Amino acid sequence: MKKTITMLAMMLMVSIMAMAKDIKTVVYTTTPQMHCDNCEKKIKGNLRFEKGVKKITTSVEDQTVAVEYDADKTSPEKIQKGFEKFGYKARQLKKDEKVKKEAHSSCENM
Amino acid sequence: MNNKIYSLLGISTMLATSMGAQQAMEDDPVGEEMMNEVTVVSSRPGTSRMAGAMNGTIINKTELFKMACCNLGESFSTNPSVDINYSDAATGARQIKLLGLSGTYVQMLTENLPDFRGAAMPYSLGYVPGTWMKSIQVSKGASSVKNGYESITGQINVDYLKPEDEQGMSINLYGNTMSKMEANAEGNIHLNKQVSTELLGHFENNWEHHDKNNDGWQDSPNNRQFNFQNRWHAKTDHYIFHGGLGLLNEDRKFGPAMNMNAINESGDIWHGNVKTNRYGAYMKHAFMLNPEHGTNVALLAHANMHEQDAIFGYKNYYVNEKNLYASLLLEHHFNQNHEVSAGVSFNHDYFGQLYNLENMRNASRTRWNEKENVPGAYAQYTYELGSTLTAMAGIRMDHSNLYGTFATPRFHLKWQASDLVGLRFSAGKGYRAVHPLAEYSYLLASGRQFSFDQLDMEEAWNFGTNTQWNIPIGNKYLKVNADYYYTRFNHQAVLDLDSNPHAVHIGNLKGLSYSHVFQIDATYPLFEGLTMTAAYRYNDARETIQGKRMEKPLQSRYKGLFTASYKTPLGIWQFDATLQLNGGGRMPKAYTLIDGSPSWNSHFNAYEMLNLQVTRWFRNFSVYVGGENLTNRKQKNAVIDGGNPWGKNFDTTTVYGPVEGAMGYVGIRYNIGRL
Repeated sequence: MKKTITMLAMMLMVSIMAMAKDIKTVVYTTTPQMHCDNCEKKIKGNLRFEKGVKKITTSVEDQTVAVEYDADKTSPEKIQKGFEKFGYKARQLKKDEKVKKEAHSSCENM
Repeated sequence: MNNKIYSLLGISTMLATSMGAQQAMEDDPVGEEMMNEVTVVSSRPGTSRMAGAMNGTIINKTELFKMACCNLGESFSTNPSVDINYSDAATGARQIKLLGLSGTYVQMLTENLPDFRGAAMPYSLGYVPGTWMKSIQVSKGASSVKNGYESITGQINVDYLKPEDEQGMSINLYGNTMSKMEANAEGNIHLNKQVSTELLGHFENNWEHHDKNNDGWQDSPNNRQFNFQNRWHAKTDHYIFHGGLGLLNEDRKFGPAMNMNAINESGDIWHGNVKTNRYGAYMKHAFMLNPEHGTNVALLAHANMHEQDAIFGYKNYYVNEKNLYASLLLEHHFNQNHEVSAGVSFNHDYFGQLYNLENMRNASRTRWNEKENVPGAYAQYTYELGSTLTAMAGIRMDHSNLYGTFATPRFHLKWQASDLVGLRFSAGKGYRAVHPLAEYSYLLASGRQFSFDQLDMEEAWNFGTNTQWNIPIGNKYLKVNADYYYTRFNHQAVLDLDSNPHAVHIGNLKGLSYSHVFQIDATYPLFEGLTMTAAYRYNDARETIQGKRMEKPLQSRYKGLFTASYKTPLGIWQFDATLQLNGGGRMPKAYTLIDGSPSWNSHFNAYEMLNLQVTRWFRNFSVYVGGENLTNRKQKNAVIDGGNPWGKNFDTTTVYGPVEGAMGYVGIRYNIGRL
């Protein structure tokens, strides 16, 4: 009995590990920069349809777009290409790299 | 397994702040400061509370998407304060009820201009397609004197999509199991930095003639509608312009089921038909005179022509209604605490009417022309102490060539005691001129003998208090709203369905007529992506008919509402559910049938309504599938003696609940250029 239970538990654990996704995060900055929440909405609204994207967090203050993705389904390069589909260019930020927000007064999204 | 749950909780809390913050800014419906005194303080997806002294909620596009609402009439199913009912079981006319009282006491505005008055009232909820609306502001109780004297129980303002919003085009196609299809198209262009324009189009039609409940009457009316609007926006540094044109054409047909041969002795078949043509133009000019003090002058004007030709068997009603409205408003802030607003207005109403109320072949028509001119002036003072205290007092004086001079005082107080609690109080008077045929023509779809007296202007006082709570629970806020409103009529046009079950009479109130309403609602985002609302409302509305004080008929005594909405983290799927429990109420007095039994029960029972919807977003389009009234609730005898509409027992006016059964729908929205 004990043996069966242990075996079943091991099988469950293995299957959970197999199901567990490999979620990674990559941070980008965009050109043109985000000026307002409408820009954030546009980026979030369009990028979410990229395969493997799990979560998108934007910050106008820091000029960052943090994307959580399933490493089995996509890669930072594929996501970067995804930005171009709706008129944006993205550049991966290096660890601890900060981007300065340009002092633009308006964007066409406002 | 545990790992997954913990990581889910972890992500939920992480997302709670970021998503919440993002959606706080979504769809801010603030217009120019001079047009709206509304600012959004706290938001949640879908609805937000109105800041300022008035008690109201803003329903934005997110909430409107939850119900794939066909039109304005269907935009309130998740709102606990507003009830939507069919006025009758024949024409498809819908009416709202606020504070337990008829929608005629709610002032309807489109873009802050009074609209849908007179003959447009019975069918106006079908004149605004759901996809055209950017937001709806519903405020309870007396409203500001700026918009006139006609709001008694509250105000509903519809904001259309704006030409100055993000450019693009949207197309929507909709179809449902009641054989109704609808097509909507909205597009806007920014011609240059200053001028933008938009075109809104709508077409709907339903064509089936089914009689599923076998009561001899066609289940739903056939309605074909064309609706177009062209709106403009222009601005310079100190001047803003809004203007537009609209036209609407509608052809409604209703009557006995196809296979019935409702032919009378003269060989005529009973037909029901309401044809409408509506044209309108409006303009709003705003000049900023002194930016430091927010001094501005606004000129608002509109002109409407509404032509309606209604036939109910031999009874008929034709009206050519013309309305002209203009108002000039001036606003000035002395400093950040004191603000004053004053203005003048003028309203002209003309009703050219031809009608026959007798169930008689070739009866001659009576001509009745009504003309009313009302110039008026108002002054309003607002005292603001930061965002803690707002006190607003206003007075209006109007003079009508028909009803004389009358004064409308209004007072509002808002006290945000702390982050936790806010308190509101309102008191005010409201007036309304009644046009019995224009506003109640749908009552002719029955064998009841329609009659009316010379009617005074309706006059009522409204008092209300409201408290709002933001209770922190866990990482989020439980928002609770509790309010109480009391409306008391000094003069009222009372609809009497009771005195004679074979007649309907509209007469002046002699005695007491009032309404007490208590409502409490609570909203909480249970976990990331899920919002739940629960509400309960109790109303006690009584009027005096023929010396007896009676509960208002066909009105549910209470309403329970529960809504849940879940959106997946990336917003790709959305699931919405709404469950309503409408309490029982009183039916108008019944008559005795040949076998001795009453024509209908004296009271109706409580009934539930369940609506569900699933939406899936794709890159450029979204698809939705849903159902309304999924428990298939139907009022059993909505149509009395439908197979014999020439008879005196034929009645479609004793409607209290859903007339059509369960309905399923599917639709697709396609966007080009915008989200």
